[in-house]
Amino acid sequence: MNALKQSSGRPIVTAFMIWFSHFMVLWAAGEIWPHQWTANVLAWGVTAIALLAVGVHYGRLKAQHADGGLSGWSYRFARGASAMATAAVVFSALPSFVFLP
Amino acid sequence: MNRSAPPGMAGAVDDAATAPSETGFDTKLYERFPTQGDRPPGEFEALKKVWETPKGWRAFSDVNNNFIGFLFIVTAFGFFVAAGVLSLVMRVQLAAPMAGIVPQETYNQLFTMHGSVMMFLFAVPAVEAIAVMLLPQMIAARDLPFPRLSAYSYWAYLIGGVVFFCSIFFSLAPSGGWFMYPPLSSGVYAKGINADFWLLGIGFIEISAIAGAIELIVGVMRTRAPGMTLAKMPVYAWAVLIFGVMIILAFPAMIMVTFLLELERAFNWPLFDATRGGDPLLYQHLFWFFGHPDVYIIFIPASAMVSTMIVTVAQKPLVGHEIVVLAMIATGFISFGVWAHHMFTVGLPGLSAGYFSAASMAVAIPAGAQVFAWIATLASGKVQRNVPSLFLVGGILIFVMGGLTGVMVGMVAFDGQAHDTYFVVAHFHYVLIGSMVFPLFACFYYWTPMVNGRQLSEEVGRWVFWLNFVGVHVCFLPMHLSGLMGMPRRVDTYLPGRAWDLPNLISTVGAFIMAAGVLLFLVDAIRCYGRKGGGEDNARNVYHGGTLEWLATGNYAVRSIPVVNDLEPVWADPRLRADVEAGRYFLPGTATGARETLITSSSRAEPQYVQIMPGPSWWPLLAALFTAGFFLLLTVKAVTLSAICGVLTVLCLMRWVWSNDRHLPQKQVDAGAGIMLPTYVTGPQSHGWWAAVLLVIVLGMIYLMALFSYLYLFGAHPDWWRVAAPRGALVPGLLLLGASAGLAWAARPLMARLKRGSGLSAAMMTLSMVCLVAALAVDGLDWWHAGLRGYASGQGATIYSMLAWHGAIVVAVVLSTFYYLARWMRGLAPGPANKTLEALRILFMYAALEGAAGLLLPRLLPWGGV
Repeated sequence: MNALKQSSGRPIVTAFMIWFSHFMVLWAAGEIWPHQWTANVLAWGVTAIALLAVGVHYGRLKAQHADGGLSGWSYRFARGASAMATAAVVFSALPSFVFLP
Repeated sequence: MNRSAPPGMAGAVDDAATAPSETGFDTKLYERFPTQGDRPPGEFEALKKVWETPKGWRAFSDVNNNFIGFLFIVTAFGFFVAAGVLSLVMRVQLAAPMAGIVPQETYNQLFTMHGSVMMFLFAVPAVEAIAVMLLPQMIAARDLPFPRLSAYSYWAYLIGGVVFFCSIFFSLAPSGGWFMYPPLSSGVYAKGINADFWLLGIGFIEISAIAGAIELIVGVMRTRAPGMTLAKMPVYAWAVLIFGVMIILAFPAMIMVTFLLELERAFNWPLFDATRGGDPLLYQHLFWFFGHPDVYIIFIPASAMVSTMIVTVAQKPLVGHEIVVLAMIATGFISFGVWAHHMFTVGLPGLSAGYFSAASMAVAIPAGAQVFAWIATLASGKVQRNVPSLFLVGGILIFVMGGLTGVMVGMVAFDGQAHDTYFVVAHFHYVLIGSMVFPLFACFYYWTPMVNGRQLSEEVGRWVFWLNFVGVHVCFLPMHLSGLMGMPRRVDTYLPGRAWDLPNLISTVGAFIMAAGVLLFLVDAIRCYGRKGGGEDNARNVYHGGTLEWLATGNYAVRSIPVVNDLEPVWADPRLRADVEAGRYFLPGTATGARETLITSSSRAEPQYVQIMPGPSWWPLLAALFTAGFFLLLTVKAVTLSAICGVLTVLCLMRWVWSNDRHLPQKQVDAGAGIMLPTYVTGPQSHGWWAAVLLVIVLGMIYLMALFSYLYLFGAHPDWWRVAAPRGALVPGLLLLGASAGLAWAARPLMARLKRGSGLSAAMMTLSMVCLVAALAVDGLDWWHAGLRGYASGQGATIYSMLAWHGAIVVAVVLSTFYYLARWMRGLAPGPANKTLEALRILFMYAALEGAAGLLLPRLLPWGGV
């Protein structure tokens, strides 16, 4: 149903889920490979993927909004969520540049 | 219409025109409201009669949210006072060095019970209780969608809570701290049943919280007034939604961890015993995966109460409403990434600790955004100076102070110094009192006129505020100092000459100042609520609030359910109150002669159907009583009596839901202004389907925690994985589970398509159940024959734990099958679809999925065997 897309909360949840998945992978890597380069390198790779995912998500939001497929409210919220997710992904990755093996 | 449309109505129609309908409902029909002319005689009286609370002792069978919500709040506050009294005893003990007021073991029980009661019996239930009472009024629903579930949730909480609390009078209270870490809480170091009381009591109360959360989520998503789209939903409703989602995601970890610890204590399965392949850190991970989001579960609804009250206090819309909502969502998410900051000193890898430290500091950003929004709203509005505003401003100040020390302990290096000292005690008391207790007091003063028609005393209220405000600082500010001077938490006394005497004495004085404030409040509350309330006119809205709860006048909430197009509809449309009370909107009476509410779509709140609601019943109370009996008798090892209570619980639950699914034909009723809506809907449109899905999410989260436990123990102690995974059950098990899921899935389409579909679907559900039971047996026997034993290693303990939990789900499936068969035999499971089948097939399919996960994981990891 087209209308469901119009003011769905899904774009907001998607942005935060990207951050949360990124965080969980980073933590799991830190636990599985403690004090090893693998955890740091994996963190950098996953951070790049997460930032790319937020970028793709944001691009899709813009396109959807331009097509009239997303209400103003959803669009504003989703943009805010994407911005916060980006900041959170970068902030989460910071320790992997500081705590080197 | 013979007069111009009110602003709210015109806006709702215009807004609806900008987007296609979500449900096919023609929003132009809104233009019929407000209706004109007088309502039929007797209509209002019939509405009141249907929603009347039973008289005398039968009142306890009532399930209405006003009645249950009020009891809930009073009970939660009672636990707050009781836990406060425990803290006063502790403070007297600590007022001077080497005091001998209470023995050490009693002191240990006091701090354990103080923390447990405050967190599990006061904080979460209090915010849930306020939501039960306030939410329907604020979104103009007649009641929450599952009133009997609210009643069950409350009675379970009351009975479980009282018994749990009373354990302290019999020296049966736990003494291992409110988080009950093993090995201190394991059978080796905590003999007796004290720890079991905590484990089963808390597990039971968690069930109550989850039941309430499911109710509230469905309430927010499906019972909002027409026109109240997500964008126009009050900030408090947003908070309740986030709160509910957080509970169903976080509390399962607590249920699983209490289940695992009880298994270890009861059967000597070494889940947390590092000498046999278990790990005490697993407990801490699971506990804090619940424990830290729990803080935000308390904070988010309380912060939304602040946002709501500040709008009224400042008499202007909330500055940055959308930013505040987004901040709450962000806080909810980030709160799931901070749990291990409670574990900085256990030896986490530095990188992991760094991630949690970063997330912990990041959470200050959305919390700060809310604080700035409040300050900006107050600064730009015409502030009313009254008791609620005092508590709001005082609470913000205290919360900010607690938040700042939170950022400090979020730093790994600082936490290493402050961990387990009184600095941390000071920090979390500032946070919780500022973010929850003060807003709660503000809420009592603010919403009492809505509940009671009378105000709490402004004069006494100012005394209550200042005593509490001064008391908080006198009590907790010196604790920062005593903590930094090295005084550890949870010590029953200390030696003289360490400079801890004075700060402790001051803290004790502060605790009694706070107690005086609370006592004064109690006196005023008893005075206020002891007398009958005032009239039902606008005098109740003494603070000039703009949200819909100020239109509520009885158990039925509002006389008629308005169309909403503003965040403060009462401000936006001056005629709204008169029109609502004159019955000029949706459901002005009772369309079916029963209790009912309007179910609307999840996003745009378009009317979908009229829900016929269950009325007063003793079954929820009895079910709660027997559930409590089951858990508590199990604690004292009275297995037979416990089993009897378990059977009675099941019977009560079945009897309770038996009459819920009244399979009417798709009969339509006039929901107001000649708008016809159905009364019986199945599938994703139905609110019952939503509840079933949410329940499955809860079960899924619990099992996810079990899978995590397996992975964690395997990762931590692979040397204890000594039994090679048997693969014999893999193929037959998966085939059986696939068949089970397939049969449950096909039961509905077959029922709809075939003439004898009803009987066939009942048979398919039975077969599905048989396949599930067979798969469980195949899986369990496979491990048993391979030589795996639960007591022998972490591997055995964790695999049998998964099987035990899955077994409990399978038992639920078996009982559900008998229930469904009984309904079918009585002709209560007709086609083409019925709500009971819809809900059960979701459970059956989930059980098959869970069985498959439990079958596969321990056989595939470690890959290639041990």
